[in-house]
Amino acid sequence: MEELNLKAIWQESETDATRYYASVRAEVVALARQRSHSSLSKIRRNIMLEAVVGLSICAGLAWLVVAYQLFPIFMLSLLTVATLGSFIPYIWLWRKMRHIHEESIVVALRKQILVLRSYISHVVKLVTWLVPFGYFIGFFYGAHVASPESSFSDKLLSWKLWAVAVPLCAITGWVLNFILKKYMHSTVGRHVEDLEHIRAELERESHPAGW
Amino acid sequence: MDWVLICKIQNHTVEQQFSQLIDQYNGILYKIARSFSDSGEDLRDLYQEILIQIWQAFPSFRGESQLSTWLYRVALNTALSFQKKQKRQKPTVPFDQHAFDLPVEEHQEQEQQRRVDLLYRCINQLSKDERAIILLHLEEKTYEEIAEIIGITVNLVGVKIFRIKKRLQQFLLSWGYINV
Repeated sequence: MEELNLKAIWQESETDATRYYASVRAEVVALARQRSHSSLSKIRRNIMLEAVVGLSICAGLAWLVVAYQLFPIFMLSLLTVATLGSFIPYIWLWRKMRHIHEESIVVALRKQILVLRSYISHVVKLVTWLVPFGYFIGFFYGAHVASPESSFSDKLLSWKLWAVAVPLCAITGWVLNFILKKYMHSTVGRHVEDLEHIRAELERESHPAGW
Repeated sequence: MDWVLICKIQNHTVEQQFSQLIDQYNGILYKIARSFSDSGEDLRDLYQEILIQIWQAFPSFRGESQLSTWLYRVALNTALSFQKKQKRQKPTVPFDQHAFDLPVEEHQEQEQQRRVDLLYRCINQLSKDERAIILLHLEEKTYEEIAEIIGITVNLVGVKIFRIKKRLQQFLLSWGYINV
C-alpha cells in the first residue's frame, strides 16, 4: 500500500491539463460567454421569460378592462393580486440564486435544493391557479361570441354556464396538475434528489456498514 | 486578493483579468472537470460550464475569501450540480481518444499517462461527494482549507479523507496499479 503515491500521480496530470488548456486557450473568453446549461441558469431564464409573458398578459387584460369596462375595480384588483402573487416568489428565488456558487459546498447545495423545490412548488401553484382563471375567461368569452345577443356580464351571471364550466375546469385542472407534477419531478425533482443525496453524504458523520 | 488589486491597479479589462485568472488556475479547472466526467464530451461540457460560472461570478468577487478558495468553490459547486446532456445515451468517447491528446512517443511519458488515466478512472468510481473531498486533498489543501471550501468540520474532513483514500487505493489495486 505504501508505494501508492496518489499525490505524485495527481501532480503528473498537470501535463494533461496543460495540453488541454493549450487547445482551448485562444477561445477561453468566448467559451465563458456561452449560454449556461446549469439547472439554476435555466430557471433564471425561465423566470425572465415568464416575467415578460406575464407582464404582457397583464397589460393586455388591463387594456381590455379599461377599453370594455369589464368590472374595472374587481378585475384590476384581481390582476394586481395575481401579478404580485406571481412575481414576489420569483424575486425571492432570484435573490437566493445570486452568488450561490460562491458559497461553501454544503451551503450552496442547501440553497440550490431550496431554490429548486420552491421553483417546482411555485410553478405547480401558478399553473393550477392560472389555468382556471384563463379557462373561465376563455369559456365565457367564447359563450359571448357564440351568442352575442346577451352581454358578457350576462354570460358571467348565468348559473347554467357556470354549471358546465366548473366541472370541466376541475377535471382539466386536476389532469394538468397531475401531468405537471410528474413532469417537474422527472426533470427538476430528480436533480433535487441527487443534490440532496450529495449534501447528506457530505454531512454524514459516520458511514453505513460495509463502506 | 492581491491578484485582484494588481489587476485593478494595472487597469486591466474584465476579459484580461479573467484570462489571467484562468491562465493561473487552468490546471485545477481541468482536474475538477475530468474528475466529474465520464467521457471526453462530458469533459468539454463541464469545463465550459465551469468557465461560464466563473465568468458570471467573477465581477462580484468581493475578496471575502482567498481567490483560490473562491475558485474551488465555484468550480466544485458547478461540477457537483452538473447534469449530463440527455443525448449521452450513445457510446461515449473514451479519454484515451481525446482530440487534444498529442502523440506521446517516449516510454516514460506513456507510463505516466497510464498512471494518470488509471487514477482518474478510479476517482470516477467514487461518489460525487467523495470526489470533491479527495481532489482537494490531492491538491495539497490543508484540512482547514478543505473544511472551509466544503463547509464541514475539520474532524469530519479527516475521517472522510482516511476512508476515501482506502477506497481509492482498493480501486487502484483492482485496476492493476501494481503492474504500472
